[in-house]
Order: sequence, then structure tokens, then C-alpha cells
Amino acid sequence: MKKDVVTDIHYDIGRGEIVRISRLSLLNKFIPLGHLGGGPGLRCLLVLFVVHRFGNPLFRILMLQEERLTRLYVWLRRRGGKESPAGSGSC
Amino acid sequence: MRWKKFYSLPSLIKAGRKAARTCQTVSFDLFDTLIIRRIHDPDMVKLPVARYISSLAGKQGIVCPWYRVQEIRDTIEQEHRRRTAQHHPDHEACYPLFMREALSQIFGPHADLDHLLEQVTDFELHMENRMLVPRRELVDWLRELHRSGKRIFILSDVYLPSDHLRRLIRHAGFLDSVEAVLSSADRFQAKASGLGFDSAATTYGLDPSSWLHVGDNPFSDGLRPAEKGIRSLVLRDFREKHRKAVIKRYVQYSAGKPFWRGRSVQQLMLPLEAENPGPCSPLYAYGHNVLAPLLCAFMHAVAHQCLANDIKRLYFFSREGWLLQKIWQRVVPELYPLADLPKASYLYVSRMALAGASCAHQGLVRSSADIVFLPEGNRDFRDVCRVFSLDPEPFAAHLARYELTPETVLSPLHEGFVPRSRLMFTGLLDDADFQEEVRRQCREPGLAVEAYLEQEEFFKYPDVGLVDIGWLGTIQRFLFDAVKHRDDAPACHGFLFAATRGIEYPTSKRNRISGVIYDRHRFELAASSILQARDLFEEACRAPHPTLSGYRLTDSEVNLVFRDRDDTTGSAEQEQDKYFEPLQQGILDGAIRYGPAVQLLGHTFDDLRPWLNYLLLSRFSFPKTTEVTDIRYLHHLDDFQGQAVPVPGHTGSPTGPWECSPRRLRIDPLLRLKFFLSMIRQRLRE
Repeated sequence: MKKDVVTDIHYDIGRGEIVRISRLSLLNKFIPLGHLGGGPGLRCLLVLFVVHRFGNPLFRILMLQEERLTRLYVWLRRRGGKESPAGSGSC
Repeated sequence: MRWKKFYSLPSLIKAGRKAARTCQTVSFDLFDTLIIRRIHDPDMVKLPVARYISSLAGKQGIVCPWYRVQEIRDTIEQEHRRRTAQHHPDHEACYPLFMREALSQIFGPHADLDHLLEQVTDFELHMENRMLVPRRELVDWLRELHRSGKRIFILSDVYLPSDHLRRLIRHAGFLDSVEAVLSSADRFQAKASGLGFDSAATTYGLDPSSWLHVGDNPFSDGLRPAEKGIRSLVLRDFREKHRKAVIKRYVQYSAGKPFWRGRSVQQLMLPLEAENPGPCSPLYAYGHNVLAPLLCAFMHAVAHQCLANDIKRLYFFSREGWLLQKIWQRVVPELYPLADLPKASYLYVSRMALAGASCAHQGLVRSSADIVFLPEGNRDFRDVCRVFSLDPEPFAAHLARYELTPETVLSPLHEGFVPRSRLMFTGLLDDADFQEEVRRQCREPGLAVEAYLEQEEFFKYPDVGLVDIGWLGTIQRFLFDAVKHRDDAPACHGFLFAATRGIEYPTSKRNRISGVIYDRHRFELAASSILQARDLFEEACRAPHPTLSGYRLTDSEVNLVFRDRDDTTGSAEQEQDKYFEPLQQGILDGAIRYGPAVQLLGHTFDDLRPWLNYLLLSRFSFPKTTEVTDIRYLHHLDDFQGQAVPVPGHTGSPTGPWECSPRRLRIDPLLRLKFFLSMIRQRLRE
């Protein structure tokens, strides 16, 4: 019996739940699967796929460039740009 | 003095070990350094506290919704910070001070504020404890430093005073290695202004030149101590940033998309640091990630129903109830900290043990007899006698009157079945002399069951909740039939994980069942996936003790009689129990974190339903081949099942992926879809 994990380095359930959700969500487009609360939504799935799969190298780079990015955010904010819509609850 | 940034824990610890050689004092930041939070936003821990205060107020007849409580708390905390800033460089607040004022505003100045504050503080720290996880590697290093004689301090900029922080650290398990805990809430001297370091140096006589500080904030834990001549190491952990980005997105998306609500709960349930077992048995992972959320949600819904219907007593039917009760104990007190929850206990029952007793007063009714012929291994009147613990010999004359013998085939699944025999059998059930003989034989088991239930306080409550895994509600049916003649028989509210209702349940005001996750009376396509692997749930939840075969009434007490486990079936059952041990452990480990996760996010059972449906669909209708091979049970004992072999054609063809061979599952890519479409057809025909 091959060993399994409860969560992996991508912080997903087991090994790659996000892919499984995507597959079932695609199937739901063709046949009725039942009450899935409106489904996961394509944009949410894409963002979560990227965050899970590429989060590790992505955040490594972001952390290394933290100071430059902070300066960039401050500059953007001073130019009158809007803040990121955190907590907006939609995707 | 320079400060250094590190992007991973091992590199920080390596540098820290080197730096600590020349230091006598090592101080650590607490939050996000020694301990991490499961949730990305620490302020979210305040929301369950607001709900708790709102419920406390509700109990005293004060209407104050939780968002109003939160608003009051935030306003007062801000005001305290503003006032502190007038006299101190740091804008700090102290939890007991602002919370007391908030409680005074909500409950009125004449309320017992000391008691209320203690209650609320206990709850807030309890929630914090549930959300905090010690960082194993860093705590191990802290212990190592303590053992080598270094003076260890913890410095934190937070609104909780140091005695509250000590409670959190004690729970995390390393308070014994720490000399002192200093909080900015104690003297309003924070690390952010550098005064926190000055204060610690003065109070404990610390020399900055032999002091190492470790934290996560470049300003408070890096720049400020460096200004004071303290060597400092700052951890900017990209893995933590990644983890928090993941949970943040799930929480944000769950506000707009109900599908993600259950997923966000599961993200909070994931084991972190030392909790994470790493590579483990697939059974453990399956128990933790699939069965734990389903069974915990079941208990969540049962608790909600009990509170809504004012049910004060809850019984878990053996043997699946054994695990369900353990889940209840882990989940429900976390979900309803202030509620008057029903007293819960485990009831030793089984279909076989109750079948005879159910006939003690009403005799053998047709619906009960029909249940006998559902399993394909039951064939004739001898099987009826086996199930209801009847002696077939005294019935010979009664059977003869209806042209039947004990061996006459009564099941259409067996060779030699004649429809007329079944008609004659129905006539026999209406025969008063036959029923008199049934009642005579069942009198003793009936008395024994009543005595056992009296012993378990069953008749003391007007309403009782009965929890079972499923499927027809046969145990509850037999139990109610055994006691319904009594005036003090309670109203029985049955909660089944799934109600398949293969035989119509005799629902009345005093006796009803409802399927929580799946009920045939509701059209739920996704939830019907449960039907693909019913036996898996039975085996996964089963108690390690053998099934009950009956009750023996002695002069003073009732003794439970268990099935012998020395035969082949018993050994197979023990082998199965051993095989599923990691599965059960995974379920129980997952259950510990379900309650706090749901409490924090404030979701109801209905909020979680779309995700539960997804789990059922993906794991039972569309399982991976490895899941089927690893998780499928080895042996399944059905105590109702007889030894007769049905005619070919009634058995053999698989009805779902869980009954197929791994080879077939691998080679046929459309197999699962075919089974699913066939299941849709069946549901639509019902």
C-alpha cells in the first residue's frame, strides 16, 4: 500500500485536490451532479490552482523582493491607485 | 549592531545557534515566530468571541447581535489605544481593561463584570489555543538553549497581558523553558518603540551586548533591538506566507461562493507542524480528509436538531455509534460552548438483540417480517425464527394450517419460490393463535430489553434522540416496537447518517427518523453517492467489541450477551477492525479540529452541504482506483444474513465502482460515469 499524505507542501488536501475539483467541475458542465452551491467558479479555481501549485516559488521570490515591492506599493498608493479588494468575498 | 533576515527556519536556527554561543540571553517574539496561527487574520479569532458574548447576553435577556458586540469592542479598544498614545509612545491596549468596559456597556454596569470577564477571557484564550500551533523546530531550539543555561524571555506586542500569554505558552508546552514572558499590554512599552527591550533589560538586569533576539517583524524585531545594541535575527518565512495566502483565499471565496465554505473549514482542519504525520497510511489520510468532515458535519447537524427540538437525552446505537459518540465529544462542545447540550451515551443494541423484543407485545407484524427477506441469504421461515430468536418447533401446527413448512421458500430470490406461499405466510401473520405463540416466546426478551433501557434512563425523558449510521432505521423500529406499549415511552427522534428507507418507516409523532446527509424523501443527487459505499461507513465507524446477540435478565441486573468471536466470522471481523484502525484514528484526529474551524468561520451545517456533496461525489461515485483498493473493506458481517444461496441473476453484477475489480476500474475510463448515470436513472424512478 503506497503511503499518502494528509496535506503536502502545496497546502492542499492530500495530493492535488484542486485538480480533482476542476475535473468534477468540468463534468458538472455536461451532466447534473447535484447541489454544489453554484460550483467553484472558474476564476477561483484558477487563482487557487496557481496559489497551491506555484505558491512555493512565487512567495520565495516575493519575500526576497519584499522591500522593493513595498516601495512599489507605496508609490502606487501615492499615485492614487486603489487598494487590493481584500475581503470582497467574490472572485 | 546589524540585524539579519532569514527566509527559512533551518537557516535561521543555524545562524541562531552560532550567535547564541556568545550570548547569555535569548529572547523570542511569540506570535508568528514561536507559535503560528491556523488563520491568516488574527482578528478573525475575535468573531467567535463576539458570538459567545452575544449568546451570553441573550441568556440574560439582552439582545445584542454579535456584529454589534464586535463594533463595541473595536470602538473601546481604539479609544484605549488613543488614550495610551497620549502618555506613551506606543499605541497599546490592555485586554482586561477594554473588555471589561465593553462588557459593562453590553451587560450594564450592575452586572457581575468580574465573572463575565473571566468567562469571556477563558473562551477567548480557548479559541486562541485552538488556533495556535507551536513551531516544532523553533521550540526544540528554545528548549536546547534553556538546557544549555541561557536565559530565555518571550517579548510580545499584543493586547493580551503576560499572564494570558503564559496560559497560551503553557498550552503550547514550553512555558517550563522560559524565564519570563513580557507583554506590551503590561506597561504599554512595546518592542515597536524599543521601550519593551529597555524595560526587559532594566527589570531583569540584561546586558544588550550578550543578548540575541529572534522575531518576525523587520521593524520591531530587527531594527529596534539593533538600535539598542541587541543582536537580532528576523524570520521572513515564505512558506508561512504561502500557507496564509492559501487560507486567505479560501476564506475570501467562501463569502461569495458557498461551494468553498466547507473547503475553508477543511483548510483550517489541516494538521500543521508537529501535528502533521507526514507520509502516512492512505487509510489515515482518507479518514482525516474525507470521512472526518462528513461524520463531524453529521454530528453538527444532530446537535443543532437536538437544541431546536429541546431533546435532552441522546443515545448512540452500537456499534457505529461508538465512533460517532467519540466524534460528538470532540466536536459539539466546541460548536455550542454555552448551550444546554443533551446528555449523550452509548446504547448497546443490535437488530438481532431487539428483533425478538419487538414482538413481545405486538407480535410479528408484516413490515418486520419483510425486513427479514431483504438480505439475499434469507430464504424461509427458519430465517424468520433465527432473526426473531424464535423456536420453530412450536409453530409447526400453525404453519401446517396455512400449507407451509419451516423450509417453504418465502423469498423470491430463491429457487422454489411460489408467490402463493408468500400469500399464505401473510395469512399466517394475521392468525391470532400464531401471534399468541410469538408473544409467548418473545415475552422474556421483551422484559430484558425494558430492564436494560430502564437502567440506561431511557424512560426518564419525554424526548430522546437516537443516532445511527443508517439505513432503514431497523434498530429504532424494533426498539420503539419493544417499548411503545408503555405510558412512559419517550418520543424517539432518530438521526441517521443516511436514510435509504428500503421499507417504509412507520413514522408517527412519537417515532420518526430523518436522514441527515442523505434521505430518500429528499431528492439529493450528489448525496445519493453514499449508496455506492454504504458498508464502508459501517465498517469505518464500528466499535471494537463484538455485536450484541441479546440481553440476559437475572434477579438483580441485565447482562449483555455478545456474539462469540472465536469462529471464522469473528476472526474476520477482528482482522477488519485492525485494518481500519488508522482510518478511525484519522477520523478522530480530524474531528478535534473541526469544531474550532467551524466556530471560527461561523458556518452552519447547511453552509457546508455543497462541499460535503462534492466529497461524496468525488470519493464514492468517482473514486480513484487506488482509493477503492486501499479503502475497500476486507470483510463485512451482516448479522441478518442467512446462509442460503440465491438463484443466479440476483447477485453478481456490480452496482457501483466500489464493487468492481481494480483492473476493470483502470481499463474502463467511462465506468464510473456509467454507474453514475444509472444511479441518476434510479433516483428519478423513485
